[in-house]
Amino acid sequence: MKGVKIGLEIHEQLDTKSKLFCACPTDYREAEPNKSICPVCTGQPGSKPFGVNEKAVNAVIKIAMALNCKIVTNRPVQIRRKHYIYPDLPSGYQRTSEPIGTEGELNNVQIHEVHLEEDPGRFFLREGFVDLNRSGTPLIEITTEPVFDSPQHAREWLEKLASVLAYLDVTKKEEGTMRIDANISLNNGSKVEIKNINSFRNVEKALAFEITRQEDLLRRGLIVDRETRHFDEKMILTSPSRKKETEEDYRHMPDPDIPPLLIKKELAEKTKETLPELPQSKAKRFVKQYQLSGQNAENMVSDPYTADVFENVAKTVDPVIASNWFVGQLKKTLNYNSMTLRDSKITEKQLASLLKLVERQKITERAAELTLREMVLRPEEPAKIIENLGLLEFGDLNTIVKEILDKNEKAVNDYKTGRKEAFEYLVGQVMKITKGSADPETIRKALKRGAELK
Amino acid sequence: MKLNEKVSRYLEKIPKSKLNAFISINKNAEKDAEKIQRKIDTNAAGRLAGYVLAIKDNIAVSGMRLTCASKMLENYVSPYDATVVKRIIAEDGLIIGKTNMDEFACGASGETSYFGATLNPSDEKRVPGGSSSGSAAVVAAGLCDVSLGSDTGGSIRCPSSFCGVLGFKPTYGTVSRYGLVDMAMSLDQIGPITKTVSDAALVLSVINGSDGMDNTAIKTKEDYTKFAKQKITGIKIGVVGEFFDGCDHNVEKNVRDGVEILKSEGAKIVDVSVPKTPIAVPAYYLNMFAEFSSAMQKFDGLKYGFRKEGKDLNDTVAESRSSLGEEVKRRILLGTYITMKEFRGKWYSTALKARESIRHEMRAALKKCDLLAGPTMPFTAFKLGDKIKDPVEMYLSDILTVSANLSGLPAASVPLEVKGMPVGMQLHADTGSDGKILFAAAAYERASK
Amino acid sequence: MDKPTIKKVAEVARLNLTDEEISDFSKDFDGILEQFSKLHKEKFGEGDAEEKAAILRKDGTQLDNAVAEKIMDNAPNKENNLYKVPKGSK
Repeated sequence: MKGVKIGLEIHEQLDTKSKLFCACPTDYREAEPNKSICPVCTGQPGSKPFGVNEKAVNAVIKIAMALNCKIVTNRPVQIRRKHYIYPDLPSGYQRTSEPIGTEGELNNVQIHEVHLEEDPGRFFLREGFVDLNRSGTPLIEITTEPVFDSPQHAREWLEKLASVLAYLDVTKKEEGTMRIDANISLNNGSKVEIKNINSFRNVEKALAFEITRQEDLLRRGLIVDRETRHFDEKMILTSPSRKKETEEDYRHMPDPDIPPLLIKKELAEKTKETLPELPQSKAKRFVKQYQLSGQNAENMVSDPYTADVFENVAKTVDPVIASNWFVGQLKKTLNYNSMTLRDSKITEKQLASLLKLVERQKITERAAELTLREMVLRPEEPAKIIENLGLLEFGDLNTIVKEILDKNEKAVNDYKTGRKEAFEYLVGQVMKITKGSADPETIRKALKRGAELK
Repeated sequence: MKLNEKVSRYLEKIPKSKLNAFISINKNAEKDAEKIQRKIDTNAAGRLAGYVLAIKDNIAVSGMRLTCASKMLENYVSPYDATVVKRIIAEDGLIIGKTNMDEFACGASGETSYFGATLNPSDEKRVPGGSSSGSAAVVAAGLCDVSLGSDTGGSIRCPSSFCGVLGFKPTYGTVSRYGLVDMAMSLDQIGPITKTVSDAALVLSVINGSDGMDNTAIKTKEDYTKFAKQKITGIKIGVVGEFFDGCDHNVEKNVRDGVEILKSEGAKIVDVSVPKTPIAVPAYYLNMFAEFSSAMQKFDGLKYGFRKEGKDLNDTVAESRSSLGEEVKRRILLGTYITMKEFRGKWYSTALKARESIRHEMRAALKKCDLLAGPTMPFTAFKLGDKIKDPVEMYLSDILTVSANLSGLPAASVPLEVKGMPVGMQLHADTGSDGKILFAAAAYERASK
Repeated sequence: MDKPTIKKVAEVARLNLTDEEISDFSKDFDGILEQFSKLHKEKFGEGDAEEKAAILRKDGTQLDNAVAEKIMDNAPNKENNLYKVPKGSK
């Protein structure tokens, strides 16, 4: 798309036990409303922030390092107050640090800066309810330069970023903790900001809508206003935010309650040494070490858990066969069940034994896929599943049943009109082909199911 | 006298006082007294056992109201204890009540309280000074033993000077601010108001020391009681010429006499200069306005405090905030103004520079001597109503007290032996040298009696 | 300070002012800012900036349920332990 410039601001919760400036737990998802609170995170008169949560600071440094940022070690990093009054913000200001990392880069996208801030509470605006359990949870904010040229580009990059964050293992694992603001301008026109989008898909949708809207305005010779908009997930459109312009003056001020952070060079260097192998380098290694296709390698490394399981499976199974299964049937099955490999609880050993059967052509691909579907839901040794499902080492029962049913149309019709001997005939045919290795009860079930479908 | 008897006497005396110095009384005071007395009887009591304390009503005491003398917090009950309160209770100090003050500490006269002005015990037609008006008045009037005040630009020292008691503002960072309702976070400090130097040293010894709940309270705990006994022979006291500019003749004379007494006790007297004194008031007020407007953002009527429903969310917030008093609103507006994009360069940035340069001058002067001496206030307590209509004049009366806060230095107002309305002599020391002030004050106390 | 400026500042500060307050403050502020403009005539040479560093705290939790309850006792309005405030708009 020509003239489209998109920049992103990503907020993600850091994985700490306690909040950024007080010792309250960050368990707002499970806790009853307004139970994980104290004078500090509810802005009670007289309360002051405690020391800054060290784990949160280190997490930001780690992420900044992984995004190839320069760490600010040569000057103090102030914690500043960003003033605005809103029900979710108990002190009337949000504490946010100056940049901790600057001038980074990930997958050819320039990172403007990375900093630490506190999450507000939750305001359920339709009902007028406020829960302050979340208030004070540490967040990282990552800001990119406006370098994306399409909504799809933005989404794809966000997936890469999510993958890097997953490797670093310092952010919250739960779904939906990431919140994204996207800014967009067309042909160097006014910048429109879309606030608080909660998924990568929605980022793409919101931006696509925004492009259409702005193009339409420009085509009609109208002006695109510089403004903040909200994305409506259900209607798939953006609408202007009703906040007043004067509220945009945040009157930033160094927080007098918190002296600035001083990040030592040595800490930054030490953090660099502890960085895990990140997806990009891992993918390169996979290509080299296992002779995988670049696509397969990239696909597998996006989730660190999957990459680890793959490497263990590849110790006993041909890596190319294994990788084809990982990015093919395994991924498809997991996606169908909205699961990750970790969620499924399938063990490396189980996966390896299944893929060994495939490698040695002991079962058909079709049978292996059916086994996998069952494994995803009820992880067990594949041999046992194969037996239970009546899948045979030379083929799968359902395929045989289908063949028999197709060949014996008359017997099927007879069975449907109630002639039991016709059914027994069909059972006999299947048993003949399977040479008695299949369980008769399983054959009967498979036949009944198959016949009904005809 | 047993502590419970002492408490009962205070509890009888307080309602009869016309000073309007208390906002709340501890309902459990008598029970608390019995408990502490039992400890005293078994020799198991802490350092403050036997002491009856009053606490300024901007310091949190769990279960008691924390009003800041404002309609906004009229019915707010503190859910927690300030660190200083925890430390006082741990040493068996008894809290008898919460004292009146200027609303949210905005005032130098004690007149801006939503609950009405506090009166000066020496002359009920005069102001007691502010903003810790009640805390100074209750000590002066004998309604408790000692009290705590807070000092942002002189709020402990001004009323101590006007009421004739000892008011001590410690080095910034010596006492935890956790539980002190913010006025200007980088200037606020809690300190004792007492009749004697040894009481001030004792209370300070109990409440000082670093605290994980206040990032700026980083000083290691110290015992100050030893300082009250030291001799001042050889101590160099710098008399600051600028501190007497525009000062009442009577105040100047009394303060110079006070310095003479210190000299006769063995101190060396030298003349020093702090030429930036005339800009201390604008530097102070601009910094304070900016921080105060930030601190006051939290009072939105949504989570606690006064709420007045408006036509929508924004209006409800604005209506609720409009219950704040005139001086509080004035300061919020000015603080907002000077930190807005268009104006901050002209005002706030300049104020920050001015503050640094005053700090530099004060510390340079303290390199030439151990203590700086001068008056606490340029005049004695004025009449109620005299200055309240003129904010500029009211602000200018802080000229001698604000430099200590801007510089983070310790400073005390030492009551002088005078005829007529009380006069305070102010002593400043370098950061961390709070003890020097105590032993100079103790020397004066011994010599003047 | 003129009245439109005061109105704008009041809006940022979220204060509803009466017309009388606006004209009173307008007069006050001129006097105060004039007094404070002394600063602009000063030259500031050397400054003493304070050097302090934030204290870092180990990540550990502590929660006092009784305090949390007392915090909610001060709510001007609540339902099912949620603060009840006027509804909002996006």
